[in-house]
Amino acid sequence: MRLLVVEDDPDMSRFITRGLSEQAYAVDAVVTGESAIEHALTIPYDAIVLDVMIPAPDGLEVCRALRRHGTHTPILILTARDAVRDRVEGLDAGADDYLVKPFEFAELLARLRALVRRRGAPHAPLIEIGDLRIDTLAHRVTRDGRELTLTTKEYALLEYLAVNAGRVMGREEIAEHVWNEEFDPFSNLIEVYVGRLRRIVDRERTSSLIRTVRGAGYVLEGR
Amino acid sequence: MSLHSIRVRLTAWYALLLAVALLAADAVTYVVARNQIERSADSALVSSVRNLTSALRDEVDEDRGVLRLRSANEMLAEFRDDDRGIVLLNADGSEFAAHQSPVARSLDRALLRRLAAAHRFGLMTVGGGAARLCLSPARLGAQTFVVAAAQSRAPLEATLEDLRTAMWATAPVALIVASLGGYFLARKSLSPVVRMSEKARAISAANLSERVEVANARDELGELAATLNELLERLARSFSEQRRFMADASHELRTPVAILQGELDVTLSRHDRNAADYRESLEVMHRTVRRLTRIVRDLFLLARSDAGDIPLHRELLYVDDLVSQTARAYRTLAADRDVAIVAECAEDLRVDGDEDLLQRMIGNLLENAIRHTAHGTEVRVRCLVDGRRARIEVRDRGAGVPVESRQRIFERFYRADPARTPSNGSGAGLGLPIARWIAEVHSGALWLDQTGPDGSLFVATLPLGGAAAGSSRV
Repeated sequence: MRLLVVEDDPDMSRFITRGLSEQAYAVDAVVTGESAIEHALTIPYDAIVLDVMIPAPDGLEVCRALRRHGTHTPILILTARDAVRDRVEGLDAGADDYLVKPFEFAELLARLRALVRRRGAPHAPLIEIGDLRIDTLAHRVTRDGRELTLTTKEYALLEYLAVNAGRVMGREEIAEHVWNEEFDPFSNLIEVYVGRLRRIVDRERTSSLIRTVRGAGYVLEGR
Repeated sequence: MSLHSIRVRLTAWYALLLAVALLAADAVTYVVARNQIERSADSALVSSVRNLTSALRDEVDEDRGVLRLRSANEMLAEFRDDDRGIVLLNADGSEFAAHQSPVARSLDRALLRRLAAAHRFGLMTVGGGAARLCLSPARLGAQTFVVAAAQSRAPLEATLEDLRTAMWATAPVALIVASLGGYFLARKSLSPVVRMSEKARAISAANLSERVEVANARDELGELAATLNELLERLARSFSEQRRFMADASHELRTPVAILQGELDVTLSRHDRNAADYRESLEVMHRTVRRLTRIVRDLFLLARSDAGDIPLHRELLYVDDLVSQTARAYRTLAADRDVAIVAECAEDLRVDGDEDLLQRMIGNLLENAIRHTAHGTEVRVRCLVDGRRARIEVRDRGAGVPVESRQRIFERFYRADPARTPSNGSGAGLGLPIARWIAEVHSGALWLDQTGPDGSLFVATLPLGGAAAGSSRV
């Protein structure tokens, strides 16, 4: 899952980015409305966290601009104003949800999950593929009842493949949704991670869940 | 309808005054009418005596020069009237002839004799006010008689009685009709007041934009309504200012609180952090708490200044000391931005003021300059005597204040640059309003003197305190 965080206060941006990254999201953080529009129009984000009070164009204008350009990426706005008028204005500008500062981080996470779920094919919090079980809330993975220990990035990759189980995911798609803009497209990072994941998930088994489709990408499939 | 309502009181006063006026008018009318009636009765009596006398003179026997009793009785019968009695007396007071009427019979003969003997002629009231008597001498031929004519007052009293009855009957009716009329008039003219008070009662914080109706702008009640509306206008304005202040204040407080909450949530969500991570989080929170403290302190000061609740601890202060102390406090912020503070102050410049507040004023000006001046430039502070005032100038080398913001930078929460300033030393848009307020409570002033692409100059003036050293004092 790849997110865009638009926030001009460095301390606000810092904890949001860090907290989301720790939850296996790939996060890009920008400061101005202008770069927010630029990013949102070029990268297929799964959701955008947008502060309203940012240097011009402000959050509401960013919302309107993105909707005008036909981008349907879910947008969650952060606002320090809780008057009904302000919230209505935000939703009318094209935002999908809002959160009033200050907020509990757990609520931000829950709302983001709900936004992403609402948009894509709805998937249950628990994904089962063969004997592989992924609890997307607790980020716990078991195979045949045995718990697998994964790093955040490994988990993010596995969840992405599992949500799209049965479909072949290309390198580019994986890079866009699992990594942020610091990803170097010329590196073999994806191959390295897929290799590691396969070793953990398929260890000591003859049947591999993660298959490489030559020239196309990777696919996660049960037998 | 209460007994204390203006309508009722107006009507009561009106009725009371009307009653007094009616009574007075009736009394005067009655007295005048009675006098008139009595006078005309008297003159009628006198003229009938005169007529009788001349008629009797014609009856005198021309040969003997005497009045015969028979002729006298005949003539008296001519002048007969039920309410009148005439007695013809001889010169000694003894009766010569008389009417056979009740009035004549009731006349006291002894009194008549006494009066006639004493030559007490004229008009008088007799019989305890029952009749008017006219006693007049009459020379008839060779004889002298006295004519005593009495007129009963009964018909006159009856007329006056009718007049009194009419007056007693009409006065209360007039009073009641006029009072009712007065009441309705009062109610009609006061009805706008009732409507105004109903309207005013219905207006609360939720509908402060409503106004009372002005029926006629030129009369007194219209003026009252307009005054009420002006009051509502002022209330609404200060209320919305207050509401905006609350909204702005809560907005300013929400961001630092959100940072604290988020930083804590994220940091505590994992157990496997290292010391450096924790340290970094604590630094963020430390910075944020300082930012929060500062906002709360500024808000507090403004709230108390609005309430007029700031005691000034005035003392004699040297301006150059104030400037150098404040500049020292801002050295770190200046160094962070690679800015030098250059102060150039006249010595022995003294003001009478509150040290804390004045340091804050200078500090806010310095901070504003440090934040807006270009990296690697200077912020220059000068203090000098300007007439009877101390003048403090703070000049930066920033990009200047845009025209549309030049007045607004002194408004609370206004930021010329909507971009949030970095967390370290960020202002909530309260620095300049507070600085100006401090100058003003010291009977001074603070303004943006010059601004342009090569920087801005803020100036504060304060009245000189005590006798500046060097100035002579007789």
